[in-house]
Amino acid sequence: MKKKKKGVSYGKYGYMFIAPFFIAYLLFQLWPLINTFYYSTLEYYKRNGREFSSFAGIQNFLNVFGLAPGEKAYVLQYLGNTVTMWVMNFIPQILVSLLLAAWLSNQKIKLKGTGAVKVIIYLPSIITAASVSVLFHALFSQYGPITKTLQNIGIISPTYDFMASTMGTRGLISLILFWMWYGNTTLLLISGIMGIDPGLYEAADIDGAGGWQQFRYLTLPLLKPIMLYVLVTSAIGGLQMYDIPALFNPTSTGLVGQPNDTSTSVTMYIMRLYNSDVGKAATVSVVLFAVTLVISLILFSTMGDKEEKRLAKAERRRAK
Amino acid sequence: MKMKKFVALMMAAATATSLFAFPVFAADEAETEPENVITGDAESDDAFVVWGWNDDIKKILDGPFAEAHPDEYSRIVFVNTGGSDYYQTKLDAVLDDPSNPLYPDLMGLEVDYVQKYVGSDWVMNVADLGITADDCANMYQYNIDLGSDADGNMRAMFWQATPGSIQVRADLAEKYLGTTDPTELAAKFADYDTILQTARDVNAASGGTCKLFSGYDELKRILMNSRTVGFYDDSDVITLDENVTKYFELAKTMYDEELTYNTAQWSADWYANMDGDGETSNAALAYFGCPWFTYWSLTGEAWKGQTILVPTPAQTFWGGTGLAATANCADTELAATIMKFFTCETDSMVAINALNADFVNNKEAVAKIIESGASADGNGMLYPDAGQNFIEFYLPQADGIDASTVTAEDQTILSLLDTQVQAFTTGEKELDVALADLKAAIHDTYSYLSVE
Repeated sequence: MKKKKKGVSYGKYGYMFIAPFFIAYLLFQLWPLINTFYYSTLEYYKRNGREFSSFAGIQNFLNVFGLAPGEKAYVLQYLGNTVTMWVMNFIPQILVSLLLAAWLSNQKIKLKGTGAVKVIIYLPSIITAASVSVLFHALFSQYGPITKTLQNIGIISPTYDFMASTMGTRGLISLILFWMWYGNTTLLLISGIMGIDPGLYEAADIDGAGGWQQFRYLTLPLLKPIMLYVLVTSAIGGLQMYDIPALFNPTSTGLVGQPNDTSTSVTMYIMRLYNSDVGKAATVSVVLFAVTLVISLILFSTMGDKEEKRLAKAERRRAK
Repeated sequence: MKMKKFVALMMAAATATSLFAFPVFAADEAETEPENVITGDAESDDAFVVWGWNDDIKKILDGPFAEAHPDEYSRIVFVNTGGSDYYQTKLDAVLDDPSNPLYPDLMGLEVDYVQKYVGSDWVMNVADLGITADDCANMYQYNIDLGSDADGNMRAMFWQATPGSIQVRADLAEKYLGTTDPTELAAKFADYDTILQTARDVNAASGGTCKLFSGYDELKRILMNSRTVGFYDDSDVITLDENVTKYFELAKTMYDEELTYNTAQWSADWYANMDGDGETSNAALAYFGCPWFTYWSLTGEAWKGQTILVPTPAQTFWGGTGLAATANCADTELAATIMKFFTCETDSMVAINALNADFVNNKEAVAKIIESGASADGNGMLYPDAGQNFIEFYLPQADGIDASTVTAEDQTILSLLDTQVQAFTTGEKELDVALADLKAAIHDTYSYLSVE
């Protein structure tokens, strides 16, 4: 029997309010995304402003992974560069952010001026990446003030050049990313810590747990969902890093990360190819998509709350 | 209920997907590109839009052209993209969109990529603008070749000839090489081995506070623009001239013996070495240059009245800007007027020279300039005691320049080359590995070019 409708349904207004976003999203994000998959199956290149395209099946994938004769797997090299630079920025970032978050949110030590600190550490992420890159390049270039100072006080050798050193350039790109984003991460973690029931800390106090124990056995486990969020968004952003490496130490055309192609990120590679070989650029985009997806899924499955899942399962079983 | 849950799930999934994706056409490059600077009203009905990557063209439009054609001048809208490196990316997008109010009617094209546009459907044959071979009779042949497509149709026209030179700073030459005599200096740059020796001498005499060149890449254009084969042959197989190998080896020697400061051309450190005094601050004694380099780049106080011109060890050239009218040019008559004014008419080209001392692409105009003694001192840049005439010096250099090795992809290929040269000089790679990697990188970027 058909259910009789009672009252007015407001549900449709909800859909109307979110519709603009989804229309824009379908047109400007999902459609290009589907197209990217389509283009990756084409041999589609530009020469002298003319476009040539024909169906190529999986040939582009064979090419970018170096499986076709005469092709080199540049995409793996650039993925390596990107992941290295991301990891080098993320590990110190999460550690420093955790420490700052624990301090800034600790009710017992009552630090003064935490509001100001939160604002200050967040500031770097507001500056345009372009300006930050150029600023750091000026400071650390061959004859830059910091390079010269470090040389004079003997921390680095007098001929050392950050821009000619793989670890120097990668390290500095990671440093920029760290400096730009640790404030943001700290704020996210603080909001996570604030969400933890203060009663738990009181109980821990009564049980005689020290600061470290409280942090280790209370804060960290309960912070897991936020940590997962930070890790996943950072991994996604990190794999797509573009502006900092593309402006920090590139060749004049901004397409090859010096030195020796070791600071070229995957997205820089996509931009380089896009001007000449759309099919290959699309293929690399699809590869990047797949890698990001896999990494995110791994993070979700290893860091997801297993306890909660187990409880939910038991709940369902009982309901049956 | 199930339906609602499904819809919500799909929405969430779709939104989440977008986080992971980097669609080819959604790449946000805007932040890394310099902003366009637009002069004039692009919305007006009779706007005539001209594109350039700096204000070189604009200065001539604002100066001699405005004086000669005030009415036409008032219609011109100039788009300065603020740098050569992202010019093609910006230009190509707008060329594919003729309805864009900023679609160019006329555009400047640099030698490193002019062939790409000349070979495209984006630009007009100048014959269709009413420009004849007679109009071009005074041009240098190499410029005609650069502006012509594979079938010999001219599509881009150049207003300057850009013969190469080595520009030496007189005070430093006196101090560290003991001479300011152009003939004696020429002997010190006669061939590459002599240049290396000269670099060693400067290094030893100054104790390292002054070097011959700021970076080893001062030799790059000399060697690259005097190649006998281009980066690929007629059947699109990648070819590396022996000059490429020579450049790798020279760069390595200069790096190993610390003969330069290893700066990259156009970098801040490279510029800084123009202004140093060579004692308390680092300085470069010489720069590779050409006529425009003198009035465009080497303009600092340290070089005013101090520049001595020395021939390069091989006949070479550097840069130059072609003007091309676009396929959907709104006013071909005005396009022809501007192009003729810049590149054909003797009187106007004499006026361009008066503006900036440039070596114009018009043999008759050049003869007139020399005769009148105009810009003999490079508008105050040349070292008076050397007794040189700025334009006359370049006459033998300009004759017989061969630009047949220039390809449409040179700009990108040269940037891939820089990467490999650096890897080789710092000892990261062996020579044969670096050369093979260069070929592989060219093929990777331009899949239609193959490695044998």
